[in-house]
Amino acid sequence: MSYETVIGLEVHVELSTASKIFCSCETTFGGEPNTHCCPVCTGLPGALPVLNEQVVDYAIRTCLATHCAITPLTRFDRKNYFYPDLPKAYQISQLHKPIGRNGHLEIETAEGLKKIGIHEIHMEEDAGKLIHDPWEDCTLVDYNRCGVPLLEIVSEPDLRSAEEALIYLEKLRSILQFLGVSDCRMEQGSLRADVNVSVRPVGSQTFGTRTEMKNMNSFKAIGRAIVAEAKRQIDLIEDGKTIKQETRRWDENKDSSFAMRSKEDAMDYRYFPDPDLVAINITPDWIERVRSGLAELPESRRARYIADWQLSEYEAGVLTTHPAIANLFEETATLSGRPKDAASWMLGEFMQAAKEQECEPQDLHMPAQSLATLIARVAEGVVNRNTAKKIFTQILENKVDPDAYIEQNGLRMVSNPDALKDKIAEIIAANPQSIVDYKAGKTKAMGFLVGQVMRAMQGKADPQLLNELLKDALDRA
Amino acid sequence: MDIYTLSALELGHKIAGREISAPEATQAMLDRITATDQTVKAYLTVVPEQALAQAALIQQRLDNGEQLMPLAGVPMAIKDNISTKGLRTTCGSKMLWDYVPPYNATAADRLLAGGAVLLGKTNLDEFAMGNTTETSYGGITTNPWASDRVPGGSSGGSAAAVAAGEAVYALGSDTGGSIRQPASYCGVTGLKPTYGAVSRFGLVAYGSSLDQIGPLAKTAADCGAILAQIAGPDSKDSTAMPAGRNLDTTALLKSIEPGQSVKGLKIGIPAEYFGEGLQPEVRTAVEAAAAQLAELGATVEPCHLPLVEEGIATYYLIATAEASANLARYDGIQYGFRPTGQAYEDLADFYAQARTEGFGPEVRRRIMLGTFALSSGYYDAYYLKALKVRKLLQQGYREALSRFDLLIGPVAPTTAPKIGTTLSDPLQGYLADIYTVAANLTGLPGLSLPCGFDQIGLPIGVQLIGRAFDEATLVRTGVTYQEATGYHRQSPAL
Ligand SMILES: [Zn+2]
Repeated sequence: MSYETVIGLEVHVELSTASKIFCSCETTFGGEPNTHCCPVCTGLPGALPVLNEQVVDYAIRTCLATHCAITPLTRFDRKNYFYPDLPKAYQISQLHKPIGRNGHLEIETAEGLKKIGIHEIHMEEDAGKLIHDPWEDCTLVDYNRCGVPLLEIVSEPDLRSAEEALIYLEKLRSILQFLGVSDCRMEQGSLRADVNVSVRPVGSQTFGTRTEMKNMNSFKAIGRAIVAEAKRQIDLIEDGKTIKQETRRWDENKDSSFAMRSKEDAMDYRYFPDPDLVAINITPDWIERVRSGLAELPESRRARYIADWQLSEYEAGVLTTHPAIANLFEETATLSGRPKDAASWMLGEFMQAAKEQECEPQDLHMPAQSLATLIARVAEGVVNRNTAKKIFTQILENKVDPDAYIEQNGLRMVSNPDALKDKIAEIIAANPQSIVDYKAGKTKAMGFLVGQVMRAMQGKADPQLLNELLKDALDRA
Repeated sequence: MDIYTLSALELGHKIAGREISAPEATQAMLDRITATDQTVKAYLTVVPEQALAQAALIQQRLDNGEQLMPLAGVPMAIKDNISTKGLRTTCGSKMLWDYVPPYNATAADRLLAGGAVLLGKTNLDEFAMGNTTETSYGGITTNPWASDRVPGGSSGGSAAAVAAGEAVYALGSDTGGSIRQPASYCGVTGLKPTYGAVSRFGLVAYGSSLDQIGPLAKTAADCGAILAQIAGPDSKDSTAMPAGRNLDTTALLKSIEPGQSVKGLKIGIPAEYFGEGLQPEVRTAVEAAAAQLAELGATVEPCHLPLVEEGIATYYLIATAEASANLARYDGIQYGFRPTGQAYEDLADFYAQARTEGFGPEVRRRIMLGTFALSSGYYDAYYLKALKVRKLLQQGYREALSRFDLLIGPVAPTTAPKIGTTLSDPLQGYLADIYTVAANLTGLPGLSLPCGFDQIGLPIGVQLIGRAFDEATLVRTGVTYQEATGYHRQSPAL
């Protein structure tokens, strides 16, 4: 029998607001343990939460971009459970009146466009972090992350393969990044996804028993977990066994999962409306204000790049994978007036550098003005492309100003024929065999001599001029 | 003249007029505490040095001509569930016995900024859960009028301190009657403000949608003056109403001036407030108070209120449900009591030990009640139904207060019971809240005024309930009543 995999995703993203959701502590990742805390986010007796409205703004942006209906009187609930990383022993979350419902995202699959339903979007606070100290054999709590705002985006079970799930995740991530609501860094935990998986015989209309998979820390791991879980479930069915509804934990090293808790031990969170927070009245005016300030989304940018700047579908696609890339590209293209060159540098050197340094594109130091200057200098013939690449690296590594660097290091191309002629004469005199070879029709000799002159001139010779003059000299020799 | 017999406004006036200095007043109160608190046991913590230093500082500021509140230099006490920076705030619980808050509650902050002198922290039922001040880990506070009687609760320490002259006034908190009922039992005046009038920031939560900080003092005028200082919007509490929707401080301050009148006020007297179990002397005294107000020019008419009896069940479901979450943070991990030197099997066992040992039986009972009410399968039948009854109650009171300016009735069915009787029958104890819980469920302000004594000389209180944020009318009525009567001027022989 052949089976169909049914997947739903619960994506948690940390919002990149400056302060936490219910207090004014900063949200910056890292920092000495327990330094970004106050009585509110550490749940001291008598402290009260006060909602950071920026969180609501960000949530509205996300709802608008995912076509969700926005709940006019949205409200927070308390989700009760005991755990040492949760200082109030309840998480302020949303159950009864989440901010958004009934949205969707369109993804491009091999079979064409597909609409993936968004069941709901809700706001909540993050918990702290437990750090085990193996020396003292004790567990320490860092409350810095407590109260960092989260959005949970719950999809409908509309995904049918690991590939689709990953396309959906990439699409969602790029939207969230372009909206400016989250940096979505899985390695820092600012994007986390739990996966619900079930299988059913192809053609069946009823859902199979689903399991929930947690603890995947990369998109790759999510894909592998889905494939492995679907296989595990199919194997059970084929063996005549039943699938238990349970939560499972993915073990990346073992490439397999194990059961964490079954449905029977599912916790009763005793949700109830948080009396400390009043309902939020999201007026049509508020929604319009957010809508009018909404950043341009990747699809629209891609279309613009193709139409206005004649980029290829591929180039435009890569340039819109991340807002930092798209923004740098657009600014550079505009400043230099050479969008094609800007695209070429972005797709080539810039992406290469990001890959080599294994960092997010926004972490690379590359001011648009510097890149635009560099592009202009190549076009003007001030430096050649090879020298420009070196300067590009200097900008990245040492934050140099390209013009100043060119001057300080005397990198201007030598396009003075007299200076070149002198050097050519020197090189020809020193390499008599090459002339013989050249005359014998060995074109390699020409290349060798160009290299020699270039080296002697520290790479600053205008290559075109050098070629002409050298050929001239050889023909006359 | 003994300083401790003065009202807060009287003493404030004398301090402002340089008749008495702030340190002098503070010393007098500290002496009184030394003389009587061994019997009353109103305080959990007294801070003589800090109080005297504070008084000296206030005196200096007054001498420098600084403009402070009318009650500047007046020594007072704060209930021990209201956070005070650097001063332990125990909530009467073993759980927080050594807990020292790093910040002040907004209400405390506003009084201290206005020049209040803090004498210490007063006893209460553990986490404000009770109406007798018998469940505190710090021991039982006694009623200054009869040492074998309870002072009421949960702000029993605050009420007893004011009655005994150990504090000129005190802050309390009221979740189901915790200011008004002990005020009634101890013969002092207590005001529960409208929900949202005073910031709850720093008040250790019991039932968040019901809790409100308010004053206990010798007079209604004192209560008005204190409320004017602590009320108002607070950016740290989203349930504290913003300016414009909060109470009118100017009207409130006007209502404490002498020469007020109740002429033309319409007062409703709900038949349901005089039901079964009402002590005859309480009925007589409350009816006499209503007659007195009629004589002073108010119109008093009978009326009806819905769901008065159902109010108790509604209150205990909502308060305990909220409490079950509010008190979950006391788990022994970050602060508070933690079992030491004992083995525990796992995290759940650790929590169980910390919470079983850290909390007293009444707190545990209420946490379990509330946990049950919110549990899957019971939520609709208990918690949700309670919310619906609360809505109906709110409608009923709103309707009554559209026809009347105030409602009048008893604060509690009886005068102060003997120590030990309530704890032996907790359910009976819960029923004593019948006339007070409605003001919390509806959010309306309530004022408790001394209006007589029973046959054995225990004080009786009358309760006035007003419109939301119309504390001015409540206080004005209290001031007028107290100008015509002398019950609030009686003090216990200690
Ligand atoms: Zn904080």
